[in-house]
Amino acid sequence: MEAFWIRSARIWGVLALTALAVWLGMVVFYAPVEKVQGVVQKIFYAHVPNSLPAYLGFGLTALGGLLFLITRRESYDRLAQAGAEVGVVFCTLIVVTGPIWAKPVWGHWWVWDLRLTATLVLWFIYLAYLFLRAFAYGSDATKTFASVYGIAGIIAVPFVKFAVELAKGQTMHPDDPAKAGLPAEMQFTLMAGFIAYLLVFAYFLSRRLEIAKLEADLQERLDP
Amino acid sequence: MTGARVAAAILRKDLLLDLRLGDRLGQMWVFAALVIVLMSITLPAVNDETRAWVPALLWTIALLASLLGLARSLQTERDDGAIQQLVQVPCDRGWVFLGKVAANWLALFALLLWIALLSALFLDVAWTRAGFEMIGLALLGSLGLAALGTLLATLASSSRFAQFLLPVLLFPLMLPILVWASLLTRDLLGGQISAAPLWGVLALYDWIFLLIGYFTFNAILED
Amino acid sequence: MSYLIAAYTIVLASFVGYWFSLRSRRQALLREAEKPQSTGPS
Repeated sequence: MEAFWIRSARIWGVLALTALAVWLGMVVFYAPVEKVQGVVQKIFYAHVPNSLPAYLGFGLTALGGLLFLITRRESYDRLAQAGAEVGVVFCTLIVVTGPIWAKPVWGHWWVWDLRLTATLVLWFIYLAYLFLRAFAYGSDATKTFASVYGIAGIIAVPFVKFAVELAKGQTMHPDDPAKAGLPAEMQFTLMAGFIAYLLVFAYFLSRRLEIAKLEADLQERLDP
Repeated sequence: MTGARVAAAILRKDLLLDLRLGDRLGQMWVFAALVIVLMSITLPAVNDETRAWVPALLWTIALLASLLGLARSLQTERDDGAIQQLVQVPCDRGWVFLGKVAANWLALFALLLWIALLSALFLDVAWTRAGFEMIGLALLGSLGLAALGTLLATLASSSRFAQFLLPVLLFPLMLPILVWASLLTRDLLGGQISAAPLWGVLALYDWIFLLIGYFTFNAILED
Repeated sequence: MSYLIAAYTIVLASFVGYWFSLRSRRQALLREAEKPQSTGPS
């Protein structure tokens, strides 16, 4: 599984670049300018598709951690590590592009609403995961510890959402775009964004897995 | 029943240590007192409008103060090399976790009582209005903090930057407890009947992290 | 308009930046792996 990902990195890269070009073209030339918000609404296509890769990355972190704890196979730990790092990249982009859209539309950079707050907390959880890995002594214990935190993090997420909902009440964040009754052009452009971002995610993940594998091999050679 | 005996032995040892040395509790208490006094002086006088802020403030202070105690909960074992002996216990090592949690639970509950006393004194919080349910809430809140704190302090202790890692790991996962406990405290102080689901979900969250700690401590102590 | 450009610039720059970081890490590791075994730090 890991070997397949590492070997296919180049293919994912080519696909991702192509899809990004198509997506950008659609954003500029194909997607209509929205009447109320004007051209800033097009931030939508750069903001929303980040969500899926981010959740996917964090899901892989929890899954990899769980499988590592059960089977003790290093490749699962590497999967968890790669998922967290790539997931944080996309989650950062959600957290950064959101305010850039919110400022012209809502008038504030940040509102403490449900989705924004929950995403921010999610970002903090997996940033903490990366810190835990980065600042440990690099022993085997780190892998176990990180696995436990990765699992604990994903379990906490629904509770965080529920808590934030209680504390902050209703969301002003738009609903699921599929249900919002968008024109077909907008939906297609959004879809292109999702595909492009997922391909970028696949490319990043495969490269990150390769790096983790190379590190592990090198470590093995230095102290077998 | 060896497991329960091991947990009880760890609890007794930690309690004795806490009572005899007193430094762990003392540090948390002094810190909490300082923050509350500082807040009381700095913030404008509490009026009816700002009273709603007080519970969240107090729970946050408890969280901050708890860092001092949690960070040290495994330190003694590490310093004396006793951690090797903990690994050798003749039972599931999850019981070691439960023993540690129990000791931290008592210490943190004591911290909450201390914060309640200080806030009654300085911030005019009328705890008598909240009734006995407040004690139940303090027990649930400190149990969650103890479970999460013990688990995460153990994870953080492997690092050179444990001081930094503990809050970074702990705060995001503590957020739900902080929110529910603050809301429930506000309701109780306002003499309201608070929603039952909130109590249930708080207990559930505590329970989940007790389970996670119990089942993963085998692997954690092994490494 | 400037918000729009800022958002897209940040997204694309982040992709390129992360790609670059992955590339340099990978190449450093590959170089390290090619070194003869005896010269490695012991």
